[in-house]
Amino acid sequence: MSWLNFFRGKAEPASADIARDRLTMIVATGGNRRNGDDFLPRMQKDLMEVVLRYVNVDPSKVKISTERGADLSTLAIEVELPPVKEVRRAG
Amino acid sequence: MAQVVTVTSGKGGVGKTTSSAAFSTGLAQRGKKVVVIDFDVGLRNLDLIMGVERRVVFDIVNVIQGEARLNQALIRDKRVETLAILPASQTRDKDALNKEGVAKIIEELSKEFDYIICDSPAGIEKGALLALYFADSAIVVTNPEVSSVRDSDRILGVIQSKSKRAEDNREPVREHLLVTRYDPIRVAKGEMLKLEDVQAILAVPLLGVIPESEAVLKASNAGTPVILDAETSAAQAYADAVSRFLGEDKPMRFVEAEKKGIFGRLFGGRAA
Ligand SMILES: Nc1ncnc2c1ncn2[C@@H]1O[C@H](COP(=O)(O)OP(=O)(O)OP(=O)(O)O)[C@@H](O)[C@H]1O
Ligand SMILES: [Mg+2]
Repeated sequence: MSWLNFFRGKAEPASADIARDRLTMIVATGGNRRNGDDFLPRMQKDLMEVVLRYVNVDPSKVKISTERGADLSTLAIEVELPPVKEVRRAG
Repeated sequence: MAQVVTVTSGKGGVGKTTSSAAFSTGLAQRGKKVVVIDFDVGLRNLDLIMGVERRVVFDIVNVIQGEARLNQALIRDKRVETLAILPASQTRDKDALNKEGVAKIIEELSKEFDYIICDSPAGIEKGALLALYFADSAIVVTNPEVSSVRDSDRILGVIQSKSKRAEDNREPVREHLLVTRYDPIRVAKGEMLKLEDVQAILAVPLLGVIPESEAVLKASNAGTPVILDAETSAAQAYADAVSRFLGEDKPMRFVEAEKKGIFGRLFGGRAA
């Protein structure tokens, strides 16, 4: 910070930083870069079918999520399994 | 086989045509055989920026519809020998272009040229899709400003899903980020997005940074690609981008605010 800025007192957050944070949010959710006929919805549907073929769970207990970052993107499949007894019955 | 390079952005008015003209002229100055195609059918501009508007007789639509041969429509540049321009039509509507027609033109141009530069229209509709469909590389022109960055992110997604390379499951289109109209003084004041931030958000290799420059408007007034005004910062920044595209290592220039002298610091601290 230059001495001139020092006398002007503490600066409010720079508008450029607000812009950066807003854009980071938009891009991180991944919805922006994908357009319309993206493969993700189809992949989710297929993954869901596969999971349900092997484990007898309520479809609402299967969560499929994706997160896109600058360096790393992840696909997470989270299945909340029922107690052991019920799984056996499903086979 | 020629390399097809599409200059695109999503958002309009960010400097695609300016960059297409400068970049193709720069490549040709380096001895490459280059043709630059205006895909902005109905709103052609490239001919004006290149200063060849009075030499346009036939255009890309005439060629596609079989009304003229490709060689009759190509305009050979008088300043740089290995450069040619294929203008867009001013009168027809966008539907006059189609994949098959463009494919044929690109195939024929590939026989003579090393690089085919496609100046895309704005948007993500038909014209822009056609301009990027055959791309081997894409130069995504971005201004340091929220809507331009978001649209660049958007068009990057389109490139990776709608290009021929994506359809054929080939190696993806090589992406390059070109940040234009960058104003280091406004960045230093916190009014404009930093280069590092734009780059981190889009996560695409940086080809160059073109500073905001009065030389661009002047060059367009005169119909001279700005890269030919060699002493200007914009020209030098474009020349550096061309070098990087050809694989040379060049440090980024014109990205830091000039240090003010003692008088500037005493009296210019509050400068608008
Ligand atoms: N580095 C720069 N400094 C100053 N002005 C610039 C710079 N680059 C471009 N411009 C100006 O921005 C305006 C838009 O440029 P240009 O026509 O190249 O954009 P475009 O992306 O091709 O627009 P469109 O989407 O309409 O095709 C022009 O007036 C041009 O002079
Ligand atoms: Mg344009």
